[in-house]
Amino acid sequence: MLSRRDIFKYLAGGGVGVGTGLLLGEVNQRPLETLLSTHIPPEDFSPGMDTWYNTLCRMCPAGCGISVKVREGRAKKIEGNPNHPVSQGGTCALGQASLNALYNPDRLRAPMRSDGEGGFVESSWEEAFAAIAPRLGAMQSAGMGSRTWILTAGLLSSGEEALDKFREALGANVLRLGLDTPATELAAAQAMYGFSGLPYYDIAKADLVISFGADFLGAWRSPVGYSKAYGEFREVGDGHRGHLVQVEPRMSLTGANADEWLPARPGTEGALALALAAELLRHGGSSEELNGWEGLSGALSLDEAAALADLPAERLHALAERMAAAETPLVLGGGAAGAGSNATETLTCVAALNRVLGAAGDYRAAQPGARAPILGAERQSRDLYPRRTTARCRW
Amino acid sequence: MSISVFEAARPVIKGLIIAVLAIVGAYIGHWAHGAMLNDYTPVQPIEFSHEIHAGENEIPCQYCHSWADRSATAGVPSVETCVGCHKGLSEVRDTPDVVKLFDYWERGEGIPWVKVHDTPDFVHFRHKPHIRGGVECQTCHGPVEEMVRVTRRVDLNENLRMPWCIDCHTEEDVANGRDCLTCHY
Repeated sequence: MLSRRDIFKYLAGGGVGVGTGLLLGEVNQRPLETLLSTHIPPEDFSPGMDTWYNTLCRMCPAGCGISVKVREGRAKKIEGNPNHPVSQGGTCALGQASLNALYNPDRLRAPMRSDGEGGFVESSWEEAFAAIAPRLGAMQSAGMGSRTWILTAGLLSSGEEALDKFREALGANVLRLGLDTPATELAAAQAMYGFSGLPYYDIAKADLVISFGADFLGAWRSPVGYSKAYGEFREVGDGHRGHLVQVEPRMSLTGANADEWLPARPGTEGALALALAAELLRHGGSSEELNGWEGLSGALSLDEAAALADLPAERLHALAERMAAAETPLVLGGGAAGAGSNATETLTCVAALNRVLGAAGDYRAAQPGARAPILGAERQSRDLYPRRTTARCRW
Repeated sequence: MSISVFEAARPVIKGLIIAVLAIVGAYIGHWAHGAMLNDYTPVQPIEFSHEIHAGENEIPCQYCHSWADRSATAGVPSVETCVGCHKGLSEVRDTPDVVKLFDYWERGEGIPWVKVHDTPDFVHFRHKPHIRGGVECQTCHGPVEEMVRVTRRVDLNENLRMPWCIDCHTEEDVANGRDCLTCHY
């Protein structure tokens, strides 16, 4: 009945089954994971729990307050800090993306030394100090400290003070360079307000904002802070809805949101501002505000300025009328208007227009070391650091 | 002339027997793998003995796994924690595994321990509520203080599954203990 051949067949069947079972067991096994212990744990290290650190975003000079979620010593997520005066809980896309900058493999983690062939090699801080310090010392003892230049972008608070002390000790000069270093805006503020710093534009309470190139909803100065203020500026609850005019050759995000977009020819923004200032003075304004500023004598008429800027003259006349009728007008300058070869003059003219409009307030009271002048409607009364309230939702 | 169905079906029956034998064999093979070829007792980078530390010397679990009552994970101690005690223990300083420990310490590296107990990614087990609820570590981990090399026992492996969790949650009348989202979220 059961032949020898059958027995072999059954044994083979069973054997294949056992083999398959072993294989299945091996395949179904969850792969082993390792649990890497820390060497010396960072402060507040607590595996499995979030630790939140409040700090400042450094992706642009605005310095929004952020809270960073840290897990097992690694930054994982960024949120806005609602208690911070500038951003009030907001962040922009750049701030959200700054984790990618942190973990970017190309980020410099050590001083880089030129290898003499156009490349750079990593070196230690000790090597870097040993290479630089004797040469700085030699320059200084030879009385050539003023020939030393420190190249940097903007630093924050204590960093800025340390830089100042370093510069003083060397007798060196500081050259600020960077995409976001507003050299022309600083120069114009110095010329018109006598203040070494940047003014704060309080657009929230303005009823007319004319922006010469300043893309404050996109990337200019402090986009998160200005976006908040823009919300108040546009608020319609109490019949106050600000009118926004954007003067710039290329339509930016702010230009797209504006009520009027004036595509002036690049470089003519200053002439436009000056012509508007002169026009306003002609219609009952007082040049006292300008305190004998000579620049005004070069003002074109509105029609000439319109021809220069390639704009319809009637739009400029309408704008001048709107400015004269506005209660709390404010003019911003920067961005595209602050980047040409005549940018400092352009921004100085824009600042002069602010003074003619009476938006520059107590700029004369601004002393070196005092906080930046606040330009706008309730210039001195408005707290620079408003508390976040829910009372603003009026509908 | 008689027609026998049995005769005609004989080759089919033979095939069926082979198939049944193969299936039974597969079960046996799978069981044998679990019982003998498993890696429930993985070899660790350092032959750390819980029997010596937790057993003989009676160091409490949470002296080293110090986040168990505070966090989802109990955590493994930092190399600093190990060295903190061991730099004062010159009598065992030259044993091969303590030498390994100090090698990690001097290289500034962490120790890549192999996980023994692990829940799948779709289960969010949290140590904190269990420790605070008075569950003994040994309830799930077995008598670790008797183990030289930590093992996930086969019976525990069978038991450390959802019905086992649910039984305990039901028995202890845990708040929301039978809610899916208590563990699967």
